[in-house]
Amino acid sequence: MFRAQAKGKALEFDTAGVIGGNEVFKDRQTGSRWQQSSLEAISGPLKGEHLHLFPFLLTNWSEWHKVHPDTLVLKPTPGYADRLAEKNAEIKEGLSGKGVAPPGVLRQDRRLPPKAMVLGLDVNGVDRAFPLTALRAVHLVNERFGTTPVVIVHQPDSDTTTAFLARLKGQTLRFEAVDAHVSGMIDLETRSHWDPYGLCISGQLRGSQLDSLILEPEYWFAWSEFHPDTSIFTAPAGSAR
Amino acid sequence: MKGLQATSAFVGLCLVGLCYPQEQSSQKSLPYTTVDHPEFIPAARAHFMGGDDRIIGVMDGKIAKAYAASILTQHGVVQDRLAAGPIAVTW
Repeated sequence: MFRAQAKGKALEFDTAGVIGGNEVFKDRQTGSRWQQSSLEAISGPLKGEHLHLFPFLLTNWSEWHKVHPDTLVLKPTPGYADRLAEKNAEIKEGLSGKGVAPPGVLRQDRRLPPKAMVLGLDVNGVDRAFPLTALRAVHLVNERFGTTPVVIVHQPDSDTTTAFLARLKGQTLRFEAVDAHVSGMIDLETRSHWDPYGLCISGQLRGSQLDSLILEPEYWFAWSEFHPDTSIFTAPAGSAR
Repeated sequence: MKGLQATSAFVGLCLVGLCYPQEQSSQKSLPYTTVDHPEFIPAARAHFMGGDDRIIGVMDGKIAKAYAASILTQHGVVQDRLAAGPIAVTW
């Protein structure tokens, strides 16, 4: 999910194969080819330019519909509509973490299994991978990227992860989940109550919205291939959740 | 570019930067082509959606839009235009 523009020019894309197990797109305006994981143009007139992520949420229909009852929904195209059940089964299997890296991976980083699902986060040039298995164990993570405080929030029921700058008007906030569903969180500084989408719903900070960070859900093989300096979050030993 | 020639036989299961090319299964292939003019329906009419289905959601100003992963994996790219500018929705 990215903004379809570079150097002020709107771009349209076609799929253009796979490099290193990771998809490549070609823009129709300049013919440049773009690597999905790095969002960098790897050939053509825009070589070396980067596309930018657009904010999005990976979640399930139940959670999205609950939060956005008036949501619009992409209409399936004829023919393709008949394949949805089959595709959903493939997607579920694909997200299981099992399996080997696809052929052609450029370099394998064996710190995690190749198809472990991670949520990649780049804050001011610092890359870190949050394995989904670790988030399922701890649910809420107060982290620092350099000096920048960040909170990662995982809602286990819908397998939905969000991330925010954990700072409001210069004050660093630390959070804890209100329950095992992570239906909300409380900041330890003011004991205000927040929803999992960074909005403060009661307490001293009511009405405040934390700045969202864009997580990149990827397989480990792809994230590590194109973010070689990444660190990996590990859940503290003995964490119940 | 050897890898590129083979791709018509694959469907990409790709997230933001995630690609998991998979061989097209059983049924006859439908073209793995982009959606350039996406159409949307209200949630109340989206009977094809199941509660556990993975989706990508975005906000277009105050309007929420959901893109089912099961559609995205069949097309590779959905080109959409939001108030904030053009986006490419990928899996």
